[in-house]
Amino acid sequence: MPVSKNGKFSMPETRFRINAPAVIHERFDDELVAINLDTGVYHSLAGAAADAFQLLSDGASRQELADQLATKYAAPAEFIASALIPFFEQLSKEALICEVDDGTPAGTLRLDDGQVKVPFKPPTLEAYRDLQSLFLLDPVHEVSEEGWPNPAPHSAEA
Amino acid sequence: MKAIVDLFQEYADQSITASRLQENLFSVAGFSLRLRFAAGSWAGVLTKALDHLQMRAPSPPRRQLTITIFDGLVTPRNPLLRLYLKELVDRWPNYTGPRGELLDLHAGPVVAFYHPGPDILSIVDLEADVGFFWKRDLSPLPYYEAGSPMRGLLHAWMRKQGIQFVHGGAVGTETGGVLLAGKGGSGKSTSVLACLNSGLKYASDDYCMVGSPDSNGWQVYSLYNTAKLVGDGDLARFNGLASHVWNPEREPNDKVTIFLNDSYPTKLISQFPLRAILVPTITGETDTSVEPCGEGAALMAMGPSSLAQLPTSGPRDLNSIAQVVSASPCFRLKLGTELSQIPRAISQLLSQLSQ
Repeated sequence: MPVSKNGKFSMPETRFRINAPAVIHERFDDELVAINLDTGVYHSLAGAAADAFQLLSDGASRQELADQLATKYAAPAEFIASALIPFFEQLSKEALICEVDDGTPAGTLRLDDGQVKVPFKPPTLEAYRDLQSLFLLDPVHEVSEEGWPNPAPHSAEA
Repeated sequence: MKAIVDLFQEYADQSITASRLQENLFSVAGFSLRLRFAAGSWAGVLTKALDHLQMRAPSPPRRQLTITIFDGLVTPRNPLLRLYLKELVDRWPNYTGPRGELLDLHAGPVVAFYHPGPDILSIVDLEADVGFFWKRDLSPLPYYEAGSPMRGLLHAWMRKQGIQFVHGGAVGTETGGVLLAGKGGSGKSTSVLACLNSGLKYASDDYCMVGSPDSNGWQVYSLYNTAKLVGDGDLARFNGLASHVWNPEREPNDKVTIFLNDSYPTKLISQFPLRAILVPTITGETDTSVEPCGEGAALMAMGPSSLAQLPTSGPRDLNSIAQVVSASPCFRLKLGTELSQIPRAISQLLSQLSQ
């Protein structure tokens, strides 16, 4: 039976990772930009949300993330873990993360920016859908009933 | 996948033999682009956006991409290709991914995608430096394909050469200029066109390329000399452009398209060193001003909109754009309604950055 950091016996938590290769991301300082190429939705994540998302590159459970974020942010791990619940729901809804079910252990989770006691704001996800029609195929398609090479009547006007 | 390239080469040659070959040579970001048209296949339309980069004579040896442009009015001799194209046009959802990538062909050095609607199939072999732009029929090309032709093919090939496609306006001089990053409607075109009567030259309205070929830092390369405006109201703000509109008869949602090589040939510039990235923001105020902004804001403005319009874009593109952002000072260009202030604000910024 696995043992958690506080010494209690627990069942292994579900672990998550970024839904690559559909989801790609880049980060500058406190801001992270993530794009889901399959849905055409893009996102901006700041502060703890950016940290959490980046930590998910290696696969992590919600509790593992909370433990790591607590080393940087001025909030107890339990409080952070609660705040991560709606955030994970948002990430899942936008198909930015998926469950890890291959049994591989977590990578080394570490926030290495050296910051401590940073005020904690619950992580949130902003979603932008204005480019979806550009990312995804235009469904318009015009062809005559006979199909190619017979164009639709109006498109024969070369 | 090489086999499909061979089949298409044979089909392209068959099409050209059946008509008359027209060839055009362009200098793009330090590389050669050779376009081979089967007669009737939009040579006059697809070259207009590139006219300012046309080479009159072959340049010294350098890597060259050759794209053959042809149509489906000539039926391919090969029965397998004939069947494939018929299936693709009739039942394209069975053969394409969500962004138009052709599931059976898009692999290894071969990049292949399909654009339903105008029915355009694009293939490029990144090792053989050959590409194909095939359209099912001779129906008119959409305005965006005339304004930014073959951008998916050029994006894929240029990326292999270390040159990154970006969705952004670009103005400057030989000593340096700026990229204007932002999605449609953010004020890129307005800003760029407002500079036409200033000392700044035009490199791009919406698509250009960025590369770092030597120790001189990032260079911005012009690709298309196209200006696109939302409608007649937008057009009325710029004196002298109305008589050069390429598509005076257009569909309601089509943008007004102008080829600036026709109207402002001396105001075009093919490349300049990148000095800053500007994120235009329409304020509604009278005056235009510039203030520093974060790299994250610049990446949000340039990354998603660049990737959105390129069917085979991916993590390498976002990473490459992030590198450009990271190497450049970033500013918010707060656009005022008095257009003459825009080039002044950009020129002042460039002057400050050069000191």
